[in-house]
This record gives sequence, C-alpha cells and structure tokens, in this order.
Amino acid sequence: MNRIEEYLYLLDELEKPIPKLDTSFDRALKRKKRNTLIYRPLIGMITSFLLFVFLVNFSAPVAHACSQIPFLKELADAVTFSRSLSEAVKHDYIQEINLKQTDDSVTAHIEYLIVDQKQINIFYRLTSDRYHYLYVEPELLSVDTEEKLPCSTYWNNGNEPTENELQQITADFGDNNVPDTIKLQLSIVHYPNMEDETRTSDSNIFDIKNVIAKFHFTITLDPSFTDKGKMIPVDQTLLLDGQKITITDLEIYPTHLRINVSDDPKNTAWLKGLDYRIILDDNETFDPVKNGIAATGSSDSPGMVSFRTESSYFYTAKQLEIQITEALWLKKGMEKAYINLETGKTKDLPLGVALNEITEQEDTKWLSFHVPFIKEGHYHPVFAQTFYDIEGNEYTIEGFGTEGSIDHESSDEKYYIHKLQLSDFDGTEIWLSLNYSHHRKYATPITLKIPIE
Amino acid sequence: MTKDQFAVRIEQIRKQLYKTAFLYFGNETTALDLVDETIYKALCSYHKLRQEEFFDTWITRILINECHKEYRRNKRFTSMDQLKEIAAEHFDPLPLKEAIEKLPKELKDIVILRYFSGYTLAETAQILKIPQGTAATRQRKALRLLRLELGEEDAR
Repeated sequence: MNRIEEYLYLLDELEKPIPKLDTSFDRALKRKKRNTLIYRPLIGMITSFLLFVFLVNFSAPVAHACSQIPFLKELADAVTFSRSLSEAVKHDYIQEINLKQTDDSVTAHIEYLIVDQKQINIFYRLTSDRYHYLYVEPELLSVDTEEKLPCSTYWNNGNEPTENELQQITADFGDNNVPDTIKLQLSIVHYPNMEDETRTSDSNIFDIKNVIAKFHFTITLDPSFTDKGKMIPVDQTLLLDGQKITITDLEIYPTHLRINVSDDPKNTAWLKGLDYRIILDDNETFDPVKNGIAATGSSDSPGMVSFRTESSYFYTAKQLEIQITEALWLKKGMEKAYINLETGKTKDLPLGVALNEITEQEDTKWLSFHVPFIKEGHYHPVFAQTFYDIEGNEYTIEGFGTEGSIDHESSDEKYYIHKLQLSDFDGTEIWLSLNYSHHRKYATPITLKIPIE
Repeated sequence: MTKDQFAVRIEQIRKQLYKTAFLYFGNETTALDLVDETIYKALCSYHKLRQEEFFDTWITRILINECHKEYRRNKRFTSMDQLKEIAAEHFDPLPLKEAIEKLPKELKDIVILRYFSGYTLAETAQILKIPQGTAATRQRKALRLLRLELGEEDAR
C-alpha cells in the first residue's frame, strides 16, 4: 500500500461509528451539574456551634475493607471513603436504628449509626415518587431544650431519591462528648429550577428554594459505643522549618485519631496544615482524614491545634510513629491578601497562587484563581470564609468552588481553578483572609516514635 | 448562543473533534477522554464566545490545547529542534497513522487539521494562532516527512 492508499484507508477508518461519542454532550452536562452543585451548598454543609477553624478535606473515595455480613454490604459501600468507618463496619461497631417517617411524598428512613465519644455518623435514606433532586438541611437538637447541640455538622448533598442510596450526616462534637439522646431535625429542600432540563443557564438553579418536608427523629445512643476513646500523653517538641511545635497527646476514637499540638509563642508562623502518615509497629499505615474534618484550630489564634487521621482503634500495637512530610504555614503579619477588583492588582497571595480573572453577573462577582496543587489530586483551601473592605468591615464569601485541573503553560506544575463568590459588594478593594502563605516539603520525613502500650 | 444551539453545534462537530484527538494519540479511549474534556470546557465558557461563526475554530483550539497538555503529562514531545536530526527516512518504515503520531506537535497539528479535520489553511492558522505563511511552511515540511503527496484539493 503506498502512502496515498494509506491516507485514504485511514480516512475511511476514521469514519467508523463510535457509540460512546454520541453521549459526550450528556456527560459534559452531568459533570457541569456536579461541579455547579458544589458552590452554594458547600457553605451550607458545615454548620458550627463552636467558634473555631476547620480544615475539611473532601476527595475521591478509596475502597477499603468491606463488612462480612451481607445485609451490611450497602453500609460498607456507603463508607468506602473512610478507613475508620470501614473498620467500624468490619468490626460490627454499628448501632442499628429503624426509624421511618413520611411527609408530602418524601420518606426519610434512619437506618444506622456509627458513634463514639466525640462523633455521630448517621446513615439514612430518602425516597420520593414525586421529586427527583432533594437536599437535606440537618440539625442536631437537645431533646430537653430543643436548642442546637454544640457540634459541627457536615453531610453530602444533592440526593436523587430514585437512586435510593444510603446517605450520611456527620456530627462532630470537638472537645465535647456526645449526649445520650439527640433530636435529629431533617429539613428536606427542593430547588424546582434544578428539575428544569430545558434551562439554558445554571446561574439561577438555587434561586427558588422550597422546604417540602420536615422530620424529627429522637435517637437514643447506645452507651456501649459512646464511651470509647483512648488518651495517650506524648509531650514531645519538634522543630519544623525553625518553628517549635509540641505534640501534646493523642486521642484515639473508633471514628478518628487526633494528634493534638501546641506552638511556641516565639514562632514566626502559624502551623496551618501537615502532611504526614502514622505507622503502627512498622506495619500498618494510616493517612490523614481525606473526607471530613482534617484539622481543627482554636478561637485564640489562626494556628491549627489538632490533626486527624484515620483511626487505629481496632488495631493493637506497641508503638506508633508519626512521619511528617510537609507543613503548611501562615506567616504572622501576612494573614490577608489584597485584591483590587477594578484593576486586578494583587498583593501577598500565597506562593504560586495567581488571580486568573474577575467576572461579574448582576450583583455577584466571581474571582477565579490559578492554584498549584500542593498534593496531586487534592484541592486545598487557600482562603478562609471572611474578607474585609478598606475600612476593615468584615464580610462573608458566599460560595467557593474548584474546577478540574489545568496545566500552567510555563511550568510543569499542575494547577487547578479556585473560585470565590462575592455577592452584593460594591467596594473596589478587598482583603481576603488566607489559610496559608507558604508550604515546605521535607525530603526526609520528620519522625516521632510514641509508645502506646 | 443558547444551550440548545450549543448542543446542535456539538453534535455537528464532535466526530471531527474525535478524529483530531484520535490521530494525535492513536487510541480510542484517550481520544474520547479528550473530546469529553473539550466539550465540558466549551460548555463552561461558550457564553463568552462573541462571534458564533468562529465556534468551530474556537472549540478545535480547546481540543488542540488539551492534546498538548496530554502530551506534556506523558512527556511525549518531539521538538522542532530535534526534528533537524530526524530525516524523512525515519518515518518511512512506519504506518502512516504512527508516522503522524511521531511528528513534532507543530507539524502534527497542521497535518491533522488540514488533511483529516477539513480546515482550510486560513482556518488552521487561526486555530493554531500562527501566521498563514508559517502554517504553509509547516504543511510542506510535514508532507515531505510523511512522503505524502497531497495538494490543496486533497485537503478534507
């Protein structure tokens, strides 16, 4: 075959039908819908009674151990993103609940709990013959006073009842203990614009919101689960990038493990994040929490005081080793970045972060940033939720979003797009609160060995 | 442009996008992933396209960028500088599809857009954001390396 014949043959070969190509537009639509959903509801996902800072990670699910008991397989599937919860299911550390209520053709069924001294994980199902996309707004209330319990709550959202899948709500009580009984209030929210498949824009899908049902469940927690936790004193100091950080103690619960730290007042930067792993007896490795609260701070300072990993609760070991591979810092005195909304001029953005564009639609401004991945495949929060105007007045960022990954043209580093939504703000200059100013990777991990017998 | 109009334009061009991506990597799965990524990015930003008559060149530009990114991820570039060391004989034993794959990206872009995706020289230059003269030079060079004697009338 000569080259021309090859060319004609190749042209014919390229004409063969590709069935999967026919649905490429549908896939793009679904993906855009998923990425759009992350913006507004993300802020609603975390409600906190306690005034301290969170670092919350949400990343792709990773398969872990599955329950041996067949009827719990669905629960095991629902917790594949969490090694701690997967281990709990594997060890039958589950409280079965069977509470069901129906209101306006929506049925809510509370099925399981995974509970310890500090955290409640509620597994429930929503079904409806009438509605397609349903959102929940849960609240945990005191049975006696009906006031909100002192916990932080997060949940996945955007339920499609026709899929009839187990969903999860997590309530974390921080330094408090879970109570004996809770009242779970579930408000079921419907956005009718979301059901309109003929819509030409996604900008108004959250404009109309209807609470179509409200459920109240009184749930008594099994005390054999709620007193579980082990405290291990450590009190050892590490030097990270010239900053003194003391590991004060470990708290090990079935749902998570906490590494508690304190910093030296003479440090020149606040510790904002750590990348590390925990190794038991040179054998089992446990990673930081990937889906849930990864760290907590305090109301006294911007620094983080506690880091959370997947739990080693169900393992016996003599020694635990912490290997720190990276630290995230916020330099004292550089807690804010300046943005001029008219000119796009910026100052004191974290290393590698750049303003991409500012777009405006009606009364809403969107700021889009290129952000380098610190860890491949993991989005990290660059900005806190507050910003300030030229007079120092405080405002709240209405929505955050992240979008795919892009390659920066002049570098091999990978970047992703991080967006902030500012609504009803007329000023031309803002100061954004930063979560970090710089980070450092350690070629050789900094290690600490802790006996835990 | 409304979303429905966008959907219609996608239906008309998606096969062409697929052919372009397939010739870049010779792999159906990779080509489909790149087309998916391109359509998604276009869906996120079609409202910014001021002149709808440039839709085809605009979306093809997005695809070419995605192909280049995929190349960088896999570090599969052959640069134009390296090409000085490579003679046409290097491409002779290869099947045409493979030979096209192995071209430096600057030449591959031209060949695929001109002779497989159906763009004119002017449109190709516009997509690649290069002068038309540069596009013509690269076109001649690519055809010489591939030993492919195609004229303007053969462009599809």
